[in-house]
Amino acid sequence: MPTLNLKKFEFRQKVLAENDRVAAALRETFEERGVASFNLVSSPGSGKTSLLEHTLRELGDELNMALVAGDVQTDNDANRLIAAGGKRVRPIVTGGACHLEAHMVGTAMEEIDLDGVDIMFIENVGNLVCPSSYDLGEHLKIALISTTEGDDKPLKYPGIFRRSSVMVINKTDLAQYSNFSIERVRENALSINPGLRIFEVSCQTGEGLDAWYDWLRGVVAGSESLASMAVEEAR
Amino acid sequence: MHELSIAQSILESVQREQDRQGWGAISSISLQIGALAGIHNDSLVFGFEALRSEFGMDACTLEIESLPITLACATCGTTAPTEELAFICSVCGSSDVSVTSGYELDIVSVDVAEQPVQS
Repeated sequence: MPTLNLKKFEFRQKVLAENDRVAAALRETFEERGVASFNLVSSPGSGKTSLLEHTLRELGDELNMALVAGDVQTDNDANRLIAAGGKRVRPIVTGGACHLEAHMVGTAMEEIDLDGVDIMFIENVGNLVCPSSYDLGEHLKIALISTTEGDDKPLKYPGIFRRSSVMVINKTDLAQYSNFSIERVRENALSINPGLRIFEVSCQTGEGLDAWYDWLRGVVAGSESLASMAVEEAR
Repeated sequence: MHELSIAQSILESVQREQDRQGWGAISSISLQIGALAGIHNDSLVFGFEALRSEFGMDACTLEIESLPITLACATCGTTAPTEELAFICSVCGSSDVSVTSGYELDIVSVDVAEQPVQS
């Protein structure tokens, strides 16, 4: 019987090296054009699109925002953002994929004119696991959680909460009807990532949204430093 | 369930390197996966085994080394792995820690068959 001699070859490479390369190029574009870029992640139904609709209605006259909205199927989210006044909106229909990858954002951005844009929102597919591995060229990740979910979610999905710089707690008006404790979710999230900037909002009543709007204004005006909020490099 | 696309990325990367280096059949691929990488190992193996024949790697297996979260403390200078999911220094209790290991999703090495030898 012939036997095979095996030889081990060192071949050290990040599995997602190609995605990281595309993401780095996107980030360079954002830097050159002076665009602040945010990757919004959450479970399905936490309110990513609602938060962006409110933001477009409130700040649409002040700030120039571009948006790409990822969904497994349908361009419903993108249509909602356009109806809310979004002028530079592109859908990304992943056709089954549970997360966005950098090349998908790159393709969508080819159809967006970045001239004069202040903020680029990338609305990821609703999912707290898969998106955490994929750099999309954003400056910061923003994680949303709503009070109809479990307040232990930051402990269940530490990867995404450790990698995010901002956490938005949405549906605060519903907290009184659920077992969700805003205090506990803050504690849990801060135990994973003490540097998290936290906003408590209700997209239904509008409560707390002013602080969110002010933060975005500060980012664009330069009084809020994105660099100081960047999380540790994931190597 | 993004493990299928991760498996595809692994196979594409290794095949590219195989073509470049002129390697023969690859019998196994070694990976390091950190506890924060968000990868379910069984799902990754399942996805890998479903896809490998498309890359001519029917007999190739995955060797996965799981890495714990390792924290470096800025307060007391300790660097140590942590089993618990607490981002707190195990020595002094400071939360001013940075993750030095745990995000890995890396290919480390491959085992390649050399010319068959008659025994």
